[in-house]
Amino acid sequence: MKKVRFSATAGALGLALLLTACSPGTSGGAQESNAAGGTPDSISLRINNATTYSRNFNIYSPSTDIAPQISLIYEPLVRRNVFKGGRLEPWLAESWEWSDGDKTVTLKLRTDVKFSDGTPMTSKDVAFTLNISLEHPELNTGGQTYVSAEATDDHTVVVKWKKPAQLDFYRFALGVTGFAPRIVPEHIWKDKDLKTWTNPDPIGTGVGKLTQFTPQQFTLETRADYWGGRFPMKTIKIVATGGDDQTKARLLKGDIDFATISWPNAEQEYMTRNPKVNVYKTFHTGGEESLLFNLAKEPFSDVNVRKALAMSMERSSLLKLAPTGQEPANACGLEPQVYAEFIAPECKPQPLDVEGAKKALADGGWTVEGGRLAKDGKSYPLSIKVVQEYANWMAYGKGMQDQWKSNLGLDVKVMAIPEENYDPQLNEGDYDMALYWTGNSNGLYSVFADQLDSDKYKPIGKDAQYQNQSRWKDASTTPLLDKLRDTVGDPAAQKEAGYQLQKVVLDQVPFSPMFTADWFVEMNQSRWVGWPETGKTDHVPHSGIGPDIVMTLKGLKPAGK
Amino acid sequence: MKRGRWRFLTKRVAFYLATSWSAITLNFLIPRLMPGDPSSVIVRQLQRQSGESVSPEAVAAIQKLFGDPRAGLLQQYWDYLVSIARLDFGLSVSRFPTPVGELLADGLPWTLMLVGATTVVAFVLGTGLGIAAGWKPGGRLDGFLSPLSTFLTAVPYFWVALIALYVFGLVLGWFPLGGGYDPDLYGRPGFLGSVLQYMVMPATTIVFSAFGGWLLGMRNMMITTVSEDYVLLGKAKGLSSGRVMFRYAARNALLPSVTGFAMAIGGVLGGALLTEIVFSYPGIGYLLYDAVSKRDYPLMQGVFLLTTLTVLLANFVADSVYVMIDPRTREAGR
Repeated sequence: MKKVRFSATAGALGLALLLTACSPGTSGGAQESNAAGGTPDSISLRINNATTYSRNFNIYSPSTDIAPQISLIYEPLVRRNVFKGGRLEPWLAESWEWSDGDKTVTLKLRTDVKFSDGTPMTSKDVAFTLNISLEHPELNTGGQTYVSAEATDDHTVVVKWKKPAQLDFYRFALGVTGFAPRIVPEHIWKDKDLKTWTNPDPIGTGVGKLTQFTPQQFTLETRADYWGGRFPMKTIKIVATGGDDQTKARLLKGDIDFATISWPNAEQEYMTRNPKVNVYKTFHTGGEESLLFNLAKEPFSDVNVRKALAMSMERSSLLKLAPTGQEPANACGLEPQVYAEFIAPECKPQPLDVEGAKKALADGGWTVEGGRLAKDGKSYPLSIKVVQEYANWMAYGKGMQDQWKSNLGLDVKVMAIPEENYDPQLNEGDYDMALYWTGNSNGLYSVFADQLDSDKYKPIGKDAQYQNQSRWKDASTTPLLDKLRDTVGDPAAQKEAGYQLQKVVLDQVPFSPMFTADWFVEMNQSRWVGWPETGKTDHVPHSGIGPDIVMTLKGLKPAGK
Repeated sequence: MKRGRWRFLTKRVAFYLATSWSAITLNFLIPRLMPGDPSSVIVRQLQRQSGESVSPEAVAAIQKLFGDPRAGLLQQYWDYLVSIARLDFGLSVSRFPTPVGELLADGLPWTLMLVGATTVVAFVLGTGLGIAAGWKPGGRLDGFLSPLSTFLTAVPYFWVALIALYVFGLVLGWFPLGGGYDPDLYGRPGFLGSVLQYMVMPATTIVFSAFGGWLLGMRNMMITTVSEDYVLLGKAKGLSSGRVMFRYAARNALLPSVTGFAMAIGGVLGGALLTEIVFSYPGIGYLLYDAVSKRDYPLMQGVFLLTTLTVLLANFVADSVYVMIDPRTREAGR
């Protein structure tokens, strides 16, 4: 019987291996090969870390785990140009005009847009879409603040706010799921209960029509009557590859053409494996990874301490610990590539300045005793929090600990916090120092209001709700922020207020920008070429920023042509 | 005697019903005792994906959609019990508004197939080899198998899985790098073949890591049984070696393994988490892990419920089977 068992098992394994030899294809997501003389007609994208997708295209769900469609099915009215300070540019809306003291915007829609079932898109669809968040406030996950949206003729929609809204209009173009209103067909959506409908067969204005869905991968076919023109590929596959390790393996094998994971050491591990084909690029998001200080806590309430800590770090050597392509950030909080015209002349990345740091401590009356900061008989142990799951933050935290020890003699404890506990702790002010993101490409107001809005001050223990977690409490910045908010269309006024706020960041160091926050992109050039290059493009090949990915895909060419 | 049997049965059923009820109640309470709640997770995810902070209006909308989980606990509990009775698992939060039942139905067959099959294979393989090894302890077979099994049980599973993936998937390219099937073949001929092909690596790594435990357990039981008097009697009577080994020794030695096997079957649903993560296998183990990290209460409750009820059912079956195959328990169970 043992023999029977053995041979049964052996037989089963043998059968499986035999079938391996018989069945075609080696792995999921493989596209038609670029055989001699043939051109590829399909492209595979990996855009998030889900292992499976559910057939749910209800774009009003705030969940980020439903089937992602990244502007390939449903599109927004406008897009942001990341390289021009986040300036809004047309997409489904061709042009727009402000009136009534910037409280009303009149949108003129494109006239050549058709849904994927052939119906033309009109202002009725746009008005219907915009009214969804008015009728169901709980579905307003984009935080829209307009109070009415009406179609005045077939291709014009008038949207009204209660206060000047040039800034709030930016929410029509923000990033991912649920943020920007994406236009849905009124004739299909009008009778659906959006809190239970999963929209399994999505019809939208985008180039993609769903032709096949499995939880591991779904396929969109590019349609000929898309308003943006013909696409070079016939099908687009969105592949679920799971976490970073699996994705790296698939990229190395050449299974997928595009992914967006951060890859420390991508140079050696990815690019050198196949130099002409494997490409890894980073694009600045306009934001930074910064060191936040808890301003409501001693000793961080003293600007001298903050200065000392900021000046005693060498950012470029920290980056070497986890080389992902990020660069040292500008000390004023504005990223030069995105905000070139708004940067104050005295702003550049904070260099290492140990003498200056020691002087700052002395100026504040601080001494270092036993690894702690001491003053007036009190001594303060220091700590910094980082997210446990981010390998690069863990490396930076350790590096910062080493640098503070060798430069100032301080013993700073590095606390690795699980991702799901991180934000709650920062929101409640339960930290000394922490790594976090500041800034973005949504314009100057958004960059500075994030951490410098005293109106959003919440004492330690109260939930800051993702704003001003530093607990900045200096009312002098509030009029500057107001000015930024009210002059969105006036670059000169923006520049002026921007200069002053940059000075605040430089002099007061409420937070210390460390590294540029980047979008990381992996591309495979064996089947498709023509991927955007930094400095030569007006869009970022990333799936998380609205229709930029659509522009990227349209601009590709089959390799070998 | 008949009445005794019935009383025994009703006592067991009542016991299992009571256990089910407490399992259901704990399923309800425990997720809500964890820090964090669905809306804060969603807000954080939105923030991470877009790289921008979520506006206060959006935060308010999300909280309104998913509610404050701490409000009206008793009312929630009652609603929960009622919906369980109607087999309505509700809508998932992390994949809102996909019904939980749909997600479970998608993932369940894969986990059952992979882990069910491999548990059986590992059990059969391990137990069979254990019988052979334990019959002649210290012999050549035992001398080879026992240290090997000890080594294999000590090796962490995920290590085996990752190495297998790297060597056979990436370096040699013999097997696919992840997934349950080739999506291009979905619903077309060749699909079944691709399912088997994708199953080879996960299944082999599980069996490889698991059979050692069964082997050692069976072998040790065999050793104690082999020294019993009735085995000696069987040999003395002139019965063939094989017959004594199986019908006398193994049959008695098997009893603890049967209980263990029943428990293992019960643990099938939760047991494939590492496998599913490493091989991106579309089962419910990964679904559970995802639900927990995203505080998706309905999905968590759905998976927990399935798992606990399966375990209880398996235990119930194991108890009954035990009574059937071992006459001694029937006498004691009055």
